[in-house]
Amino acid sequence: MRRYAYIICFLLVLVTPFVLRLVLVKGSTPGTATGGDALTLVVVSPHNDDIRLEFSTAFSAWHLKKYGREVKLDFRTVGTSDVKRLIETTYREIKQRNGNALPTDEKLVRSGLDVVWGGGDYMFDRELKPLGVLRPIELDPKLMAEVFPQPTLAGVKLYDFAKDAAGKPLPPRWIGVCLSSFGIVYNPDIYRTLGLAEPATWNDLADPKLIGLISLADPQHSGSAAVAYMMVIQRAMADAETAFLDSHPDLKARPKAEWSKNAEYKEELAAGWKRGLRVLTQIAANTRYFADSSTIVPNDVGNGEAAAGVAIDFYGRVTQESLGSDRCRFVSPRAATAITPDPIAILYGTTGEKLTLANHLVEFLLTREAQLLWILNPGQKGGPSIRSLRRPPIRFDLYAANEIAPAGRTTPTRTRMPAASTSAASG
Amino acid sequence: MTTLSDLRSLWISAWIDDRDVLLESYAQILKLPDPQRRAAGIALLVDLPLTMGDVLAFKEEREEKEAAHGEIDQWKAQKEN
Repeated sequence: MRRYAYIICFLLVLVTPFVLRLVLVKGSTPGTATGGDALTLVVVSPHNDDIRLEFSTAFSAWHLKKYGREVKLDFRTVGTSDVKRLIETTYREIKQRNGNALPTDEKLVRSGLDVVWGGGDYMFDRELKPLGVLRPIELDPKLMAEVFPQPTLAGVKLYDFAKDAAGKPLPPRWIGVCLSSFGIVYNPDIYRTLGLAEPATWNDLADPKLIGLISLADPQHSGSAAVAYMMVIQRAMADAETAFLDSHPDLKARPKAEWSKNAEYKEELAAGWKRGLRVLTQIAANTRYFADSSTIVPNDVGNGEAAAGVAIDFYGRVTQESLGSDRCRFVSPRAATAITPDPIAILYGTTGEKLTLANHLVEFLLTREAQLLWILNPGQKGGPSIRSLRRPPIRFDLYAANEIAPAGRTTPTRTRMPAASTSAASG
Repeated sequence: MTTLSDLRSLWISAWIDDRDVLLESYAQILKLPDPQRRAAGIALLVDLPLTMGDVLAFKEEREEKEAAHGEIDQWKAQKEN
């Protein structure tokens, strides 16, 4: 009898993990929120597991409720620079098969990719759009006006806007669905050990005491890291502009167009550019290694592998929250970061019901429901199910309505639309 | 932000392709006992032989190529070499 009890126990121990896995995995794997017969949209994205899980689950539920059909997001997840590379390679092959041009009949494209989501406005506007692979997005103009009462934030485009030869507005080829910025992550314990003041500016990462202790993402693989490095140069150029205006107070009140062609100004700006490049190179000389992805940097800092690094705001804040602020802290260098939109776009060759579904996805991401997912805490009504995503939404009305609490707080507080900085040196 | 893509290949060349040289030289400079000589050495090391004017000229040329639908990849490869 005892022998049978042992056998039953053994079988229970053997089978339990498989049963638990079946129960837990159901509905919790990113991009598999619905059944097998659901219409599927293939999304190329550098977004992390938490974002993919929360949005694929919420989109599926929203779509079923609003349009009465089950849908599924199938993610192809790679780093930002690899997103660009994948799209370039895919469409280059299509062009090569079609006499070096994209087929005019989109049904012949068959790229296997429908949507690209995340990676920063630079990639969408300067790298993907010129390839001709982004389709016009069809959205209700009323929704656009509601979400974007103004098309820019401190001069940075929040969505693609252009006009045709007759001056008629063209539909956007990409639309920002949340905001991001860049900053410094550092390990306070290591800074204390080194006897260094905690970093507040990009220049602080160039201190020779940090040799071998800086973690940076490889700009070949991380487009977001490349944007952050550019901010170091932008800051130095902005400082040069300020110094120029301080030495020419008579010009301060005049429009920039008047003095921006001044030879002395151009010289100062070029000197600022050079100073920024020097700081960056010294930071690079302090670098322990270049990581393949910008997500690695905050973890390495938190684990004591590096004293500091450059990171996207939400990765830095999520790591600070999960490891504790003694091990990892995120700081935005004052007046030296940029608030930029993180867009979504529909790829050329997406047709029929998939095209309709892709437009529905963009529509969903701009709803208040989806926008609140970015910023609320787990446990708050309408918040994410597992972890805070810690990204600022793009809808102006959420800030104006005073209804969002920055992640980390449980009650709403007055939250302002972030203001971009480093206005100088946009060239 | 318009100089970004032009700088990426520069960074890769200076920081990653020539990484061993950069690190070795930096380590040697930091061993100098005289702080002034050390600072001068660092300034020399991080002064890459490129100006903003070079980058803007590169950008203008690329945009002309793009507008003329030229072979951008081939042109970029030539420039980077």
